[in-house]
Amino acid sequence: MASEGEQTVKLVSSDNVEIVTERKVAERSMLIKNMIEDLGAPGEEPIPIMNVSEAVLRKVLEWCTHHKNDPAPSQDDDADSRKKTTDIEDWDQKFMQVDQEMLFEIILAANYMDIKALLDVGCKTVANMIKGKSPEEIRKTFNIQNDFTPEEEDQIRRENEWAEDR
Amino acid sequence: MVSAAERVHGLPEVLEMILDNLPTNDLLRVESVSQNFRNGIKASKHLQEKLFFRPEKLCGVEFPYETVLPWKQEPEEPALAKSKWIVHQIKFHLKRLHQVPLNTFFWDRFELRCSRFVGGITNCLPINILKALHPAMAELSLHRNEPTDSEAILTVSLYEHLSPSNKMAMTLYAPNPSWRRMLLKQCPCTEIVLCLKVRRRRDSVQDLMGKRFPANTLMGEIMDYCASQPGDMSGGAGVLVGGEVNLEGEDEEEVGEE
Repeated sequence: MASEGEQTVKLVSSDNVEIVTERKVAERSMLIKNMIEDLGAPGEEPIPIMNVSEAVLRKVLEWCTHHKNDPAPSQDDDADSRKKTTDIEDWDQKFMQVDQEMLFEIILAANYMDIKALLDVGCKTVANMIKGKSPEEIRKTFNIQNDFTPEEEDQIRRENEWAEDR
Repeated sequence: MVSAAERVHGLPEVLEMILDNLPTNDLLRVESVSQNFRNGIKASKHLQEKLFFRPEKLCGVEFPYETVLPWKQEPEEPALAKSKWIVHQIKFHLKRLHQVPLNTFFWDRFELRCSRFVGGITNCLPINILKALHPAMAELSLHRNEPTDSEAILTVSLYEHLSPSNKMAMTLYAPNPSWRRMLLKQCPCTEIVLCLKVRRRRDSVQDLMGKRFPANTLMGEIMDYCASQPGDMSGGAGVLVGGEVNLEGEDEEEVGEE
């Protein structure tokens, strides 16, 4: 009988690719963890990860593998980590060096699969891309449409002009 | 096909998590990116608190202290009740110092003279916001004054010399600047005591001692009050409006206007 750590689970991506992974790795995702508990017999029944494609799922599992032995975050740690900005550990930083579409796909997957720590790293990465940029540069970076009228935009800019770095 | 970025930005709770990592000045600037970003900031209680637009749950006199302070039940002499009331509130708040966030924007950009601060109280009083508001402000100090027993009063003083030719200072007076809507500080504090010395010329000094404001006073209200006092900066270019703290005798002054 395999111990819990060596058990494997089958995940099925949204594009119907089966990926076998260590249970401990998969359980970084609260979604999967809960599903396994509900299903009762891990390893036998494939677990569908409806909203996540194979490429993204593999990337997410790569992160989970690296972090499989991280201590589970307590509620307190959680509140704390919200306060700290920009400090992303080196491995995570490298991990997040992907094209923008993938970065946001990872965030969506982390949100859907309920992997708090990964979601947090993703959000910090995006925040770092916003920092110090002008609204126009931010729009360009993320391909966001400016949906303000010129008057509205001018008004908001004036309201906050005092806070600009000089 | 909708991009992943758009889908992420369309999730309010994830957008909030992203924006929460930004320092205050970036957060204000991001408001003008798009309606979605703007609404994301406006709708988030957490971000509104971070920006001092919204008081945190325990702030000032609106909190029903009666329900949590058992010693409030003690009969008190009416004349003493007021100052004791303050003591109680502050004692209560002091327990929560660690939970009050710093305004990192102001913290990062402006050096505060900490020598007169008491203990860890600086960390929870973003009154240095005032210094940011008035870039030319030379002196800003904040006191936790303990004239009697354990009574604690927080005192702010302003010292400003604002020249109309100072372009960066003038951005403060754009129509409806957002700082006007900001709270002077997040809790803990029960009352703001403004000590302002207005100086028109070096030789004439007028004291405005001990003007009291409720804890949830907005920056704009404080600044309007200062501007309404004689000797304010309407006196011309380079005029000084100076403030110094004079703590003596302050606790004898009665409030009167509440």
